[in-house]
Amino acid sequence: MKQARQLIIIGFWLAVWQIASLLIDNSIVMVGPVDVIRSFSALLPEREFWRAVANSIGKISLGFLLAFLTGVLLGVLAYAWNILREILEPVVLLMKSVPVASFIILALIWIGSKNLAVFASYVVVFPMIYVSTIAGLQSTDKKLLEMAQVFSIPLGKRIRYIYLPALLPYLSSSCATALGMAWKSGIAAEVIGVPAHTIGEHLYLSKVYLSTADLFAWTIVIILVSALFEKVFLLVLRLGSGNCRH
Amino acid sequence: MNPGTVSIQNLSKSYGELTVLAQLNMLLTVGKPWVLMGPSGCGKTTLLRILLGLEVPDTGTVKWDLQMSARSPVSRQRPNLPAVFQEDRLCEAFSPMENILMVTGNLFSRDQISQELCRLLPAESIQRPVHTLSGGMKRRVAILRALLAPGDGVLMDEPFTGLDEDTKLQVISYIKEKTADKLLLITTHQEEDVELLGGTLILLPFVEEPAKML
Repeated sequence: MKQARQLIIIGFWLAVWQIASLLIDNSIVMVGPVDVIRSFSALLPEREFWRAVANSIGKISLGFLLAFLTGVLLGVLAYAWNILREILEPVVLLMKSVPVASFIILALIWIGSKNLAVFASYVVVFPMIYVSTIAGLQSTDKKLLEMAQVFSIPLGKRIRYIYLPALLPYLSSSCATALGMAWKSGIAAEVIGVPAHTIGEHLYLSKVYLSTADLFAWTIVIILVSALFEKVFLLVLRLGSGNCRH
Repeated sequence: MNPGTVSIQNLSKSYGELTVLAQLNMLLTVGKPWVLMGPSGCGKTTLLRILLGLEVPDTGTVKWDLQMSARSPVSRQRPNLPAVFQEDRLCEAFSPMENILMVTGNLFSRDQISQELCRLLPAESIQRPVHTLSGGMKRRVAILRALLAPGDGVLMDEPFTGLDEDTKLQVISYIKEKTADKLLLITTHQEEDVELLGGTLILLPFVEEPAKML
């Protein structure tokens, strides 16, 4: 019953959209759902489409994974050694405060357009993962750590039974946010740098050719890919943390 | 043969303005349970924490003369003392079995641990996560953990909270069985526990008066 109601509401908004586009009657300013679906279906059989999607997914995933691994590693080390934490603090603050666009343009000068998306998603994700790793480890129950001291529990077991369960909820919630951010900044990097055969390039081209229908279609592609990516990664994370428990 | 002693000499501990222990002197011998009682705030938990090495006293010393188990390295100054804290301090996401395995390592097989756990807990409860157990059951897991872990003695801080009378008697009999030749120090608020444990009462009053052994 609830799902039927949701479908009706979605249908309602699609109808509003279609009517609005007919009334505006200017295909550059506004395009209706029918035209967007038409554009979208025209994209699917193109080899270039799949190449661009694979390329963008690959680059942004790489940036995310590198940021995740280095974020957790440095987060753990910074938790253990205060001095490292102090040394990294200004760098992380910089990464958090500088607008992504500035980073992207700077990176364009340094490394060119090809790996721009990797860099942009790294710069956005790393501070999030690093900070939440530290916060998660700091949230470890001190009373449990005292208990571990009294019972002389070895470090490996402390990590598995005390530290990891404290860290994982922080990490998985920041991952969910970081994934979305990686996508947005990765695509933005591609639009600014226009590397060949990427989603961002096609987004940019649809602007150049004033093809609003293509713009919408590519946007839908981005949303779909981002949602899929998020679901896959969170599934992997859940499986991984499930395995740790037994 | 000397069964072992713990000699507490001139122990003092203050937190800022508040003096919790003042010139405490005690001699505990291994053989019978020692039951520590006293009004809230008289320093029972502080004393236990100092014995466990979690707090450092302001003055005074603790001299250990226990038969250290074969597992304790000779160089250790402090013996192995598993404890039951006022809070359960269990890893709630894991089962009682896993909580015990955490501290016993290779000492016992899973079947042996299973057998021991079933002495005080219903069999179906030992494999599900601790957070699904009742307060009384969690307490029993904490007690089992302290008794099964390798140690030269056991310290328990108000271990019987949350246990009904029958369970308490069952637990006490199990404790006595497992600590027959180890140091056992328990704090409690209930005087009947002294007799149930067959132990010696130590009354720890507030700082103004010296401790009384009865």
